[in-house]
Amino acid sequence: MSIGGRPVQVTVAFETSRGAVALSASILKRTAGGVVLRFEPRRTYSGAAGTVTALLARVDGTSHALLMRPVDVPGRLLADGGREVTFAFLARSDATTAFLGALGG
Amino acid sequence: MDRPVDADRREVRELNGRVVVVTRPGTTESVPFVLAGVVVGNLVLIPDSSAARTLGAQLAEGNPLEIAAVDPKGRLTCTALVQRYRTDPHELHVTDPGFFHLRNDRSAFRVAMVVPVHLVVASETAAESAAGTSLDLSSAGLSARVDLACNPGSPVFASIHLPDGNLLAVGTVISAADQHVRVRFTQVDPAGSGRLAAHLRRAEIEQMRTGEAA
Repeated sequence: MSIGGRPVQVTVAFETSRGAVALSASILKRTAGGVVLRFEPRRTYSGAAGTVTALLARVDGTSHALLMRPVDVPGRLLADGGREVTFAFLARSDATTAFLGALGG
Repeated sequence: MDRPVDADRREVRELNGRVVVVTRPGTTESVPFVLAGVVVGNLVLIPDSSAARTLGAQLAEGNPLEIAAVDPKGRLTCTALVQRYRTDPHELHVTDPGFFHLRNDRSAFRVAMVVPVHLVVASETAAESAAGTSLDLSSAGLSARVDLACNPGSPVFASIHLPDGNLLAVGTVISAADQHVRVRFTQVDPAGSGRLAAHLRRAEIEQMRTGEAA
């Protein structure tokens, strides 16, 4: 997914037993209530499907910060470089509407 | 700035000098005030509470009494006159205070609370993560001592290590200077928001009881 020809990059943050981590990912597509992300290669983190995760992004100069959950994490691999992971927003709100709107499409 | 609000009948839970802290009967873990009710002038003391014993002679008929309560929107206060006080059973009757006033009017109470926090801040080009400690906390945000280079307006993820478990939230950096970062929450994990509210309410009640500034 791109805006102005550039892929939309986001930061995905979540808590692990060793503290919070931040991973880069790109948005492949938006869904009705979330996004499909692909993490950058060589990073692997485990996490259950219910792991509360944060999406941090700046799109066209506007900050977006949303809580979401991965919904398809077989084998408890939340972030597996190169693999697609679907995330659902924790709640629908003006913030999610604004973010999905900023993604367009 | 003060502004009048309606409040309904409360049970007196804690007393400190002339200040009466009230909550709804038996619901210390829920929001203690519903603002749409009508103020009633009869307040009932908890029998045999230490707070009730300390009030003693201050409750002579006609004495002014400040009544205060914790509310997520601010500190509710009013002044009423003692009508009658008896100890067996403990009962305090005051004049109808009319309206409670909402003092310290802000979207949420901020209380001093030092707990470990972990922040992740995303900039235009990268993300940074750092651990630190909170300085104060409210349901709307926090300030923390964290060695983190970030700019106001940046999106942020916060993991707050409350005594009974982590609380996760996201928001926006309000300011960052000298390892002091202020964050406004835009979303709090619903699984932890109740615990946060309970911690804040206990801290606020304690601050009111001890007379410390919020």
